[in-house]
Amino acid sequence: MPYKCNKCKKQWMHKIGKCIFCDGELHEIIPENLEVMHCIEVNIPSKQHPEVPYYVLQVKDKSGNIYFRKSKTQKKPGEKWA
Amino acid sequence: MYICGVGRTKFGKLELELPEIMTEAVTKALIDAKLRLKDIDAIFISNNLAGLNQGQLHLNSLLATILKIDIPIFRLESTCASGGATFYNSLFSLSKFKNILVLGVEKMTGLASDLLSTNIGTTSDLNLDQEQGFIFPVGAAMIIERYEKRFGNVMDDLALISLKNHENGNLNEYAHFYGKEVTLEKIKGSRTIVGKLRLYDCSPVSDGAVALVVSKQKRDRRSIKIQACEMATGPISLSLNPRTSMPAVKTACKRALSSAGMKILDMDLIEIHDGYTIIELITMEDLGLCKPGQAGKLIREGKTKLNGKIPINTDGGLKANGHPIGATGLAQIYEIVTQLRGEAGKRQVNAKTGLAHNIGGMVGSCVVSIFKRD
Ligand SMILES: [Zn+2]
Repeated sequence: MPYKCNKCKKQWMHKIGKCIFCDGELHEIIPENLEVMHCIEVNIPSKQHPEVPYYVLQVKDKSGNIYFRKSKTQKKPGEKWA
Repeated sequence: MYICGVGRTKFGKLELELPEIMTEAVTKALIDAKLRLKDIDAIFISNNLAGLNQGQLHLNSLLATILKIDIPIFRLESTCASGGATFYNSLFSLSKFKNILVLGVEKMTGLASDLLSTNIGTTSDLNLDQEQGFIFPVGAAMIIERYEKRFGNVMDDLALISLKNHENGNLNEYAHFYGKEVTLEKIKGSRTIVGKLRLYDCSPVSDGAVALVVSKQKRDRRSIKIQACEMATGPISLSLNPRTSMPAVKTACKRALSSAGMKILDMDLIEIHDGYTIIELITMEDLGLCKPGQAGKLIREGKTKLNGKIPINTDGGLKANGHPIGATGLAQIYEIVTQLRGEAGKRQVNAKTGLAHNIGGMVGSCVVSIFKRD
């Protein structure tokens, strides 16, 4: 993700098949050059993430799209995320 | 449309199961409205987690079984905005019905903390949030970081919000924290949950239920007019909104004020969905009570306290009144109705109009309702 329409260039974070506005094909964009904006340490275990601490990063790609990413190590704002 | 009866349980860790909690609130609301069950034409239930927490869905049929009735009953879920969204939906039915009942209920205690955390987390996006370890306290901590980056230190102001809500909650015998002394030192010294977010910046895990009787016509002088009720939706993931303001809140508020023909400064009291103290602060700005970055000043000046110009969360808010998710939005309405009737006792403020702000997620659903004594 994300998925971008070849014709009208609208974008989705969810896989939805074809563009709902122009019926164009959607192609998946592989996020590149992710940069860390925030890094929050989590010490609250859940069924999906029983091992704590872990870190939730807010990262931004070169197009300005924002994602959350789980990390086992702490990162600083401005650091690259592969 | 009028609210003619209200009833609620205490919020907190209750030694009661869902059927008992629901029955208590329904019975109290009917007594308050001076109506009997046979006078109710339909019931709308707000609940978020019974399917996951108790393994119990089909609450509408469960309630029909308990009350021994066969009228239409519906159940609606919109995470923490379930109460507001259910109330909003219920109002459309008054084109057909004379009196309806809206019930909000949640049982949250008694579960292992990792299971409860997982269940609450299901209301965020499966791929964008849950798989990446995002939980709602992380979202609150991120909003604090963003806000401080833009406007400077906010933690002292958040502590004042928490203190105010605990002071108000101590005047509300139904509140989760009623009778528990919470000082500024205790708030500031409480352990951090994630990032800068402290324990006393978070609403508690509560059980509870609230019921409202809503009627097409005014029934008596205690009936409170529903001046407006509007809703807006927004992205399910905070990753899709990198700002310090919530577009769905602004939209719902604008729609409600327009529908009521009123301005935000016409409100005499406001209930804000303070799941975290930072949400109360940024919502003050999103509702238009002040410009971005200025909410802290209103808080420091005491403008949102009981004796202030615009009291906020007179019942203690989610922070101190409690947050049984499905009941929360209706508890806000319960408080506004109680205040507008002049029946709020020690926490009574001088009010003719009140606004309730109920949100789900950060912020995926927002319902803003406006009430008036006429
Ligand atoms: Zn398209």
